[in-house]
Amino acid sequence: MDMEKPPRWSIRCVDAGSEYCPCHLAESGNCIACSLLSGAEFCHCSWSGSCIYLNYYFSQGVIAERSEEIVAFEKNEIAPGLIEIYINLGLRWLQCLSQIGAFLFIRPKEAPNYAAVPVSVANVNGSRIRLVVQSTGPKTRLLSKAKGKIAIRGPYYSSLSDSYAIKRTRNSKILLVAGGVGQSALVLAAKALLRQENQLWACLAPGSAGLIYVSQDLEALGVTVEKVPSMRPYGITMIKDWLVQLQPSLIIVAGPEGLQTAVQEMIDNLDNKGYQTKFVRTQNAVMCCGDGLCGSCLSNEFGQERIPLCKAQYCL
Amino acid sequence: MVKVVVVGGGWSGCAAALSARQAGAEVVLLERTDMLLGAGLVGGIMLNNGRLTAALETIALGGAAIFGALETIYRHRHVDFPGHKHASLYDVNKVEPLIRHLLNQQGVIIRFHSRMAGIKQAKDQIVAVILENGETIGADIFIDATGTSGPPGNCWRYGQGCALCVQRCPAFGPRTSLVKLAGSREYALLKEDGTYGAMSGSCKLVPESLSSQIQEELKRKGVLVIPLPPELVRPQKLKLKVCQQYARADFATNIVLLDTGSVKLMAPFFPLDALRRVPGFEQARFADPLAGGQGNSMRLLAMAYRDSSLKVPEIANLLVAGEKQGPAVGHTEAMVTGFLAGHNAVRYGLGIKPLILPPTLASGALIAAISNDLDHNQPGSRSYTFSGAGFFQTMIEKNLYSIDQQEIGERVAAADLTDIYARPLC
Repeated sequence: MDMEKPPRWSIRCVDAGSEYCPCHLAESGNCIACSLLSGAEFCHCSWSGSCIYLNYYFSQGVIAERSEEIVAFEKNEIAPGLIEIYINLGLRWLQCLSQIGAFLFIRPKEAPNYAAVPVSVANVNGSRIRLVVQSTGPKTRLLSKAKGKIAIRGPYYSSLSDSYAIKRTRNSKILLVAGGVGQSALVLAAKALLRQENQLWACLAPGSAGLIYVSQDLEALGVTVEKVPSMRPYGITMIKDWLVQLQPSLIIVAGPEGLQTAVQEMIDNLDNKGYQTKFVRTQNAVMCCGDGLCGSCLSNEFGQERIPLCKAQYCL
Repeated sequence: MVKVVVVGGGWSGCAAALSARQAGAEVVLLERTDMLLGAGLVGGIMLNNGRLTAALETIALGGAAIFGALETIYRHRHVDFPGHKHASLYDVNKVEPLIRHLLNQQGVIIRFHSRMAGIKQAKDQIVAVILENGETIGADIFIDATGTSGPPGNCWRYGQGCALCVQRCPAFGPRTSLVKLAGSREYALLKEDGTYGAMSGSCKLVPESLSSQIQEELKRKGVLVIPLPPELVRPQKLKLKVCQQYARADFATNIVLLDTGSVKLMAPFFPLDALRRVPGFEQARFADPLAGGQGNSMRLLAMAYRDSSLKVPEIANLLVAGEKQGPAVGHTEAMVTGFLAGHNAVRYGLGIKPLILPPTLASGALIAAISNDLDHNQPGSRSYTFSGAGFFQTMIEKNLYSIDQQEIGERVAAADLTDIYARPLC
């Protein structure tokens, strides 16, 4: 079974109304939120923040670019092919990178811009940012060999599919499921959810990363963590039990598409399910520019229109 | 029992909800803001010219509830102002709680802060509307009474920007259209000069910001007509107005004020520095829209194709009311179409033949005139009102205009429609 398609009406832009709005997509007539800035004759947007068309009108064509900085870093190999990077950043960066779904593009200082890799913020402690990178292709291998300084570009916010659902969930039971490097996206989300007085359970598997590296951070926050050697069969059984016992109102699945589909199917197939569960997933599309221009993360899941997932937030 | 969901709590949505309830339905009214009535919160003009005919017709049809309630809050009765006779002005500060109470009393379930974001559809039917918070509300029949004004993007592209009007889009989110979400077509008013839409025709001034002489006189008479200094006369502004019945030369050469509890200035907007040059207005400021010196909301930009029963042809269970059903401008026009849409929603829900108001009634003639424009491929080529412009003239010519309650009662009885809205269908 394919993943359920998100309805077009539910698509919001993660940057709408922010300091990075309007963006180059508004300039080019491809804004995913504003109908007028995507070629329609009339306004029928569903965005309830300040009007994007108005902001574009007032911006006089000035588009706010993301920040770039060259920073020193500390690097440890925590498992074969898996490196942990720590960088220290100033207050402005820290505020941004503590948000749900935050990620950065990073590359060795000497490497060209197009060598930058999107990496979720795995945690923020004081001024220290933790990033975890798995070497899987040329860009991540260049990064794992990096010495001296790295270049960072950001902030970006769309590593999870629906940060609005996370921000709106209060006093509820929540299930976190992760396998592989997707687990990086869980810690910032868990912090926000715990501030909103939710109770959290997590089922973690090492997956292709070969290591569970967020369990200590999650446990320290107060999340009930169960570690399993692999999702199939152990994790999936546990998740099924938890779904029945806990009746979570939100599930975040941070991992490969196979895992996301399996969990979503499980939710759909529960008998006599008398409660609603919101489903949030990591956005696994390949991302290169992060601003909807390069086309690498374009998705046709939303019908005819292809939407860049680096910008999109949506209900599932 | 038939379940009806009405989207939009303006005058037409309220009338539709009440009418569907009177016909025996379970009714949920969804309103995206925290108040009912939308533009009705800043209007206040009732019963002027042919609107009196239409109101008396609706009362005879069984839709007395709203008109009866308004009787308790009229500040002025039977006032005349340029081009308009026997108007009554309701108190805009008292109207919302009054209508809210009326709807509650009648058992309409009103949901505030409930902005529609999406829908669930199956074939040619709407199954449910989905609110912004993800909540799904199912029903048998849906009425789109979401209006045609805003969102701010339209006010920017077709008007002079968001003027911070009573619609309060930036705070509560923009209008969403059920018709549009259901994949049906919409059209806009096309003005003579080739531009789209029309600007709301009046603003409100803060009473205390005007001279005490103006305040007192207005309170006493209900209407004040103050000649403008010649250098401030700008007749071209009349073309912008949605309310063509107020687009008369007298409205360009004078300041026309009405006492609706606030001070209603019969101009779509008025540059503040110019207004303050008029004696008595030296300290004037706008109450609505807050930027009334600059512009007003843009309307008639999202009207639906519908038949004379007010049903959208392509969708089996969707009706439209108010400006959504076509370019019929005004509170009374909204109520008239609201009552019909609410009543017909229940008929469609029960599989009964819908009611079509006959052309022997002004209400039927107005709905038919818009149907005629749609049938002849001229959607949005003109706007209609019982109170002026071309349609009031038509009413006079066809002897539809009457202020005689008995005569109108007889017309409704002749069509065998007396109290039809008041009788439960299920």
